[in-house]
Amino acid sequence: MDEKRALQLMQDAFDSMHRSGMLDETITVEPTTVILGSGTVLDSLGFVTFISDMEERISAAAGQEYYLILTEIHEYNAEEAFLSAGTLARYIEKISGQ
Amino acid sequence: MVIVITGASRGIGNGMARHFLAQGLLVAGCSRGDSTIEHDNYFHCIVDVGDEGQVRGWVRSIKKHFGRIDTLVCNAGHAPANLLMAMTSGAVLSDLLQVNVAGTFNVCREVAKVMLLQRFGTIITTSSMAVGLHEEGTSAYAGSKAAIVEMTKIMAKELAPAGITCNVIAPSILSTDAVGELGEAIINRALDKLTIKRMVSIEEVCNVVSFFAAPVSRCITGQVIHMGLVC
Repeated sequence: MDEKRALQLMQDAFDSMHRSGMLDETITVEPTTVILGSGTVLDSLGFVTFISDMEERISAAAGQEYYLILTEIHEYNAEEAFLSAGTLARYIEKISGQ
Repeated sequence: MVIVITGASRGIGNGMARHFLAQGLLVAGCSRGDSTIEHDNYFHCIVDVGDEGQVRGWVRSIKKHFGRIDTLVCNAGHAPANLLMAMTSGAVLSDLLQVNVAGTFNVCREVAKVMLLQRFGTIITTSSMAVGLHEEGTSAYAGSKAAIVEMTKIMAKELAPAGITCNVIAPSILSTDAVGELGEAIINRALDKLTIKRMVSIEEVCNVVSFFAAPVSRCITGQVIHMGLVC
């Protein structure tokens, strides 16, 4: 799965959260969109829901089980707790290409 | 309705699984050994709840099999023979923390992710009368069960915005094979310390589970129900 497809799945996840009322506004996902950290639209519960939803979407799209483990993301800094859509997309591309 | 029960191959977990199957529910169970239940509505997997990877795969498989999870009962746990703290080895303590605390944590975390997407669910963890009795010889076991209570209360606050309730059931002595092996003298001594001096039945435990899972109990979260004991 390439970065572009991963970003599209994130867009689908955000759209789903908006439709279910978990997000007040619609989000247009770009590589710079903040998923976690200063500037994100997701609260902590929203972030967990987003990641869980992404795991299901990636697994369904790829036809096998995938789990998103934050501490495995090379560019993710746990001290600063910051994650962008682009960083997550590159991680998804990496694990799904293995 | 889909109910997930850990430690379903024997004891309380097995009794609960059979009870809810008889009521027409879809039941997913796990244990470290093979299933002891054969039923069209029962889905069993061999899982070590202390193993994060196994728990992740198991919960994902339940979602695939039944499509949803309405209620979780975290029942799997170890209850070793009583030992004074000075005689309790680090290995006994580690085993209790791994199965009782980490096992409950792992299962609750993965099932909570499913329930977050549903925006609905009931999580029930299992504590023990040992927490209320402060009995000599139970420091490691009661400590692990007290940790479950605290963990559940915090989880209740974290998950409440998503419509998920989290409560604790603390049964006293049940008539299971494992308890029966303790012998009459030990059982009677334990019963004497209870407020209601008799064994609790599986049906009584299931009644509390059903109470927590009932639609009219959606405003009850972070609570502990002790059975047979005033705490």
